[in-house]
Amino acid sequence: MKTKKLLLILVLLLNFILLSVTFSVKVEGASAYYTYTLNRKGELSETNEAYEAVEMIRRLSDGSTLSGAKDLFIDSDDYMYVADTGNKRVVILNENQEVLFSFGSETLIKPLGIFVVDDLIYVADYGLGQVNSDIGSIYIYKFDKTKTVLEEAITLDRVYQTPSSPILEKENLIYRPTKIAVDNNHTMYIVNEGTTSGVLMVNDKNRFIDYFASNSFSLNFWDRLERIIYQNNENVKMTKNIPTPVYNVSLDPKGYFYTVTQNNSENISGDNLKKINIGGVNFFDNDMYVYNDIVDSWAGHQENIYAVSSNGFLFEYDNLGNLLFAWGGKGVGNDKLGLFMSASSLAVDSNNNIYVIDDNSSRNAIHIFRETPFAAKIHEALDLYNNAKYVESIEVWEEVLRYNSMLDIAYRGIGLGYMMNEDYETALEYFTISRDQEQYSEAYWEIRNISLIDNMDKIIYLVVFIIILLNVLLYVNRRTKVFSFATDVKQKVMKYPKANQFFYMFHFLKNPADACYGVKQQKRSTMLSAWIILGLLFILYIVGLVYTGFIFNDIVIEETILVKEAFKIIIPILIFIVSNYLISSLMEGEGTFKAVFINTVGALMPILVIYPFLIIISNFITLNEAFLYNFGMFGMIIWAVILLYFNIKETHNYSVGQTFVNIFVSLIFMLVIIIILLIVYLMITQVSSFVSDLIKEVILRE
Amino acid sequence: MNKKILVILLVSLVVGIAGYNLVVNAINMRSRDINYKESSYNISTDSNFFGEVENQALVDLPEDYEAELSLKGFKFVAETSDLELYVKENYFNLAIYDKASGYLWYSVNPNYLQYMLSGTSRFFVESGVIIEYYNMDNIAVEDNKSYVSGPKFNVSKTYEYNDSGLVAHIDFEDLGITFDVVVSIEEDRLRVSLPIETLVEEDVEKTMLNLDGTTSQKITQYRLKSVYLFPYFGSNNYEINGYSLVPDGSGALIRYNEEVSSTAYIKRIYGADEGVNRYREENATYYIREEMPASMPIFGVNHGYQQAAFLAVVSEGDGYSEIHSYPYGYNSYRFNTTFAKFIVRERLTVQTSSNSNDSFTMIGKDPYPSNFTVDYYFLNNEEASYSGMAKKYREILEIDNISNGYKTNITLIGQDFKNGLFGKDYVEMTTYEDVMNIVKDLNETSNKSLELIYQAWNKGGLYGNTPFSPKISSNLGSSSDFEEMNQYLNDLGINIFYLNNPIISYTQGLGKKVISKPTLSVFATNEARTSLYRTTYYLSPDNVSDSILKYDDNYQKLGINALALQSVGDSLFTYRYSSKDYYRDQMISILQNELNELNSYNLALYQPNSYLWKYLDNYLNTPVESNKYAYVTDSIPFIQLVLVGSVNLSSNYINYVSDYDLLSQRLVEYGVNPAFLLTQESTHNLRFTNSEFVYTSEYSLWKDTILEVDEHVSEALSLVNGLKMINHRYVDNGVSETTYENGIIIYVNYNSEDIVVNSVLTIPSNGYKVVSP
Repeated sequence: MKTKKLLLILVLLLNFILLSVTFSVKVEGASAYYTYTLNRKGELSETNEAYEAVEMIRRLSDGSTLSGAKDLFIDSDDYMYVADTGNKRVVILNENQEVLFSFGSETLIKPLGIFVVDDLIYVADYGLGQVNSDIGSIYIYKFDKTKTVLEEAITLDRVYQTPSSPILEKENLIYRPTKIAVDNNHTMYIVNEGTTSGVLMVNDKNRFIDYFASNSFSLNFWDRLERIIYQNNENVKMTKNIPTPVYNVSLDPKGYFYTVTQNNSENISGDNLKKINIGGVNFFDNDMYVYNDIVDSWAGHQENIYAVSSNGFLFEYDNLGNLLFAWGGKGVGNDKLGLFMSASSLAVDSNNNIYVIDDNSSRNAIHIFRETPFAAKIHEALDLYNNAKYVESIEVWEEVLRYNSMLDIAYRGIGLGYMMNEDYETALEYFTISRDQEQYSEAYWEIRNISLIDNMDKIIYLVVFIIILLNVLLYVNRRTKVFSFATDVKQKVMKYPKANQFFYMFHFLKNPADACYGVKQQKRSTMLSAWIILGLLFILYIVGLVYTGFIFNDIVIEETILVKEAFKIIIPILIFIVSNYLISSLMEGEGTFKAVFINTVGALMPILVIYPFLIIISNFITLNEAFLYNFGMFGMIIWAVILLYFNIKETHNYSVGQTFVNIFVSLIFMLVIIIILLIVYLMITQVSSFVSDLIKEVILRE
Repeated sequence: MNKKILVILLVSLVVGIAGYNLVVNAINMRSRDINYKESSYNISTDSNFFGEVENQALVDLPEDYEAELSLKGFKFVAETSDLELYVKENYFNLAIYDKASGYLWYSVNPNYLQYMLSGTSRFFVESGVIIEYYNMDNIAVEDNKSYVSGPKFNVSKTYEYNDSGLVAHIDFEDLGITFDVVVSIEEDRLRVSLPIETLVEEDVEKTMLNLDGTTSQKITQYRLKSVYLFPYFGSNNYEINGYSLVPDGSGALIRYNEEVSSTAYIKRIYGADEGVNRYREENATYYIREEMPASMPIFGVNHGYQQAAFLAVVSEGDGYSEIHSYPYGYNSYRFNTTFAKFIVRERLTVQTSSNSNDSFTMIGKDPYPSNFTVDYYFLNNEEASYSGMAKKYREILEIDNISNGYKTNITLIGQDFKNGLFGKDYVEMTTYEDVMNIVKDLNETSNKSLELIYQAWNKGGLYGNTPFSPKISSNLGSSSDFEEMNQYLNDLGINIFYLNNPIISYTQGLGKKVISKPTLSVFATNEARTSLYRTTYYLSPDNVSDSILKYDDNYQKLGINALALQSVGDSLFTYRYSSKDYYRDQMISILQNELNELNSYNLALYQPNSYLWKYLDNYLNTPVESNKYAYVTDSIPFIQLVLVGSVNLSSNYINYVSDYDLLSQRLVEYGVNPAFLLTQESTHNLRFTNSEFVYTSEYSLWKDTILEVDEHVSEALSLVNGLKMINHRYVDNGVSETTYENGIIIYVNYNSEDIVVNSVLTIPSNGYKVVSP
């Protein structure tokens, strides 16, 4: 048993606990899905329910069902228009989802897109899709809302086929419109299948104006490399250099366009969703959080934008493209409200209810989501925040905090509100919680300013007093040598060899060449002192991690592992020393290992001397004076590098050129050493995991 | 000259100030234009979050049941004071005549022939016994079935009759599998049982014809995988008024209607077995909430209105059974049915190394060591409803305590830790003094009845070394602070439960009684919610009481007599410890034993399965709805009908709920106490700790909501303290009626307009009314 236990200890010593994997709460709530927002690391983190699934309509009020409906539109009077593709018709529902009219089954072939403006219904019909024959059309119906009989209410106004234009004729464009958006001038923006140049901009008279909102085509570095390498190789097929076609387009009341593009990348970020003005400029980040199978978007009333992916994930972004909420998803097994089989389109009515169509053949349903009080509060707060009404927003953000106390943006909003009220101390507290270094800097500046102004007189008195005191002391000392005991102590201490060696390291700062010579020939310092210096450097680094001022400190203590940090600092230095020594001995340098060690550590002395000051001042300066800190860091590093150069030159007695070569080769050899170490480490872990598995099985099988 | 300048300056100053104010006011006025319309869409009363109005259509009773039965080929077997048992031998069909209601129950819908089923569909419906088996030559194939009806399956049956019923020897001759099915009636109960010792699995020798014309003997082994006994008992469809009851969440009804459903309710009783299947983390569906498991081994069927119904309880083998309920149109079967399926063997995946590709599957050598028994209790007339079924189940479980009634349940987090640079960095959230202050504060505003659960009150917190020894944490106060807190709460008569988790370990250290799965791999799970530990481990269930009673003296000294135990209530799995395999049934009895030994403490468990309800004082995280699958028509308070009045039920933490008003109404309807999770300090301090997933808990932010919810709910529920809930139904769309023991009735109206009930009583919109007799 004892040996078994010992073996178990051995096995268990080889285990580590992994950190920071967020788990979800086992809480039964009203909806089947979790709702997420983005945390400060850009990852999804759970939050309260923003939109609750309330209903799934399968059978419409006239007894019919939808069939593969591909588009949905809601106008300002909350009428809902569904392009019921499989049934070749358009269905109009009122705000209670009761069928008002259903039309188009004689004329429409494959209605894929629908848009309504000024009581004109634009239907994008794909046509039969057969090669060289039927092309698609845009059907424009007039909708008279006062009439109740179908024939009077809906009248076919115009049918447009390929827009007239010499450009389109030259390109032999085959007209297959899939989606359509129309602005207030009745200019149509049509997504044509397969057109990679973007969206077709067509005027009211069906004349083609221009291509619009095309996607850009960019290659990353590795793709470019690939193309260069395989340039002339016919056996390798590369994808063509053309941009992806736009999938869907929609408009917001302010005149911005939103284009949706699908691509095959695995990323959760990219420019699949774009907010474009008439000039084609994308206002969203090209690297925003968006899924690559996004199918539709809708601009909400408060400048928010909603999007849905074909797997049924729903997103809400603010007007800058920051993700507010993500929820929904693909249903697994049992049908549950709010989970989809395949989502095709979404729309939002004037009460912020979201309608999403599930066009899978076993579902064919319209899901309805309603805004929870939580989401309404967030919208209210964001609105005030975006209009810079920070003071009014304090109360609203505080209510938001009751829902979710982890939202950084709420703390930032409250902090800004207090700043506006000139309550800088409280603002500082809030900015600390939300880790807002910029705003913290501003608030701190104000506080410092105020305290400086208040205490300016005291400071001046203090400074004058100190100057006078120093002068008096010096004068007294000159006369009576009262403070000579300090120099006596210093001399006594220096008598000890260890202390002497230790303090010799500081010589590197003043005269590096001299110090190198002293180490090499006169053994003025020892390895022990160098190790002590290294230890001090490491401690200084840790102190820096913890005590650097908030504004300049990007480290998250809770995620820092002490051992890892030690590795980051100490190991590279040691590897460099070893590498340098090896290379130098090959290059006929004169330095012994000891000399190389001590002299390299000596080159790091500037850091030991300057860094403490930097740490101290980082606590008292703001971003306005950031140059002080940055310059200090930069200068410290440069000094160290220069010292290193001199030390190597002196230690090995090289010429200028030789020194550079030596340093360069040492660095490369460092990489080699690191790779070797990695390989050894991997082998060890493999063997140890094999051994531990073996032991586990032997023990457990008993 | 000076005077002129002065005057000009003054005037411009005045004008400037006035103008500034006007401009500012103008801007402010514009800002009031922003209108925040609150969503007007309320959850529709058609949603299956609610129940449907009682359908009072009656079902036809047979005029001459004996003639009908003999016409269909049934013969009489046995009789009791309440029931008569009939059997039709060729497909092993049963019929029960319930004397009090005059209704005939068949083991298959009497009109099934008109649905023109054929082939295996027909055999599945009309066979009394169906099995699934493994062919040992290829255990990957999971759904080989064999049926009693269907001549090609070559099944022989011999029947032995006795006074209370019959014993049928079923022999699947082609498979070498034989077992007995015992059918007996006793008073109002039909018992269908498969005694496991009668199961014999023999090798089958077959003569095989080879390609070259010679014959050879091939020996195949078949092993029994699962058994269906009378799966279509009580089945029917929308042509009559009826519903099935499934133990989904708090309870759910699937009413007979014409909506074709492509999915069905198939759930393992007490949840999936983590020892056999992968553990619950499913990365692909991280966005879906975990579904509530079936926590009771029951199902029920009701036909007609206050006429005939039955409650079926899986009394043996419940750890290895599933509840199936097929709605109309599932698998093209056009009737609804509900039954229990027994799992005799399961397939295990054995990992031979940590590389996930190195694994092989095997099936258990022996069948699960338990008989399988389903008891059908027949109810009639007024008892024939889900309320009557709950009353029956309460009798069977022998639940007879008296609860101490309405209390607001508050869980307080004491402390947690995050990873600091040099080890654990403890974050204090609610000290002992804070506990007193919070209670004092809540009591001052009105007469609160409170109940506390103190989490992480001890040294090391909840996520430290488990099971922990109960020591005061100096971070939270001194031992005199702790005593003062306890004294203060005792004086006020407030129960405080101290949280412990005796079955989970966060590390796999030495000397820890960590168990392994039957496949010899370490039993890792993510049962315990923590943001820092990626996996946690199970400790031996045998140790639950020991790990607490070991420190009995400490608990006594600290004055602790009430414990809340996490994970013990809803964990049930197959495991291996000390070279012995323990199956779910055995774990059930082990857990019952352990909790019995702890009877000196008041116990609160989180969503416990029904086999532990006898040992409970408090049921925490009560479900107040079902999983609301599309084919479910009603969510009903079945758990509440069984437990209210005997056990204190409290809800999930209201912190995470988005609609407090709806939940408060639901709490009134279901008789469940509200529960909150609180800390004194602000919740953002929990960032980077184990409890990071708690995203809101600060007391000062929640105080108003607590008082609001409390006010709404206590006005109704404090009137029914300690009283059992004896009936529940919906009398109108979105209007429920709950009746208690002494005749008090509570009506809850979820509509946004007032509703009149019984033409005299007006129930206010989004409110309720209590009517005393």
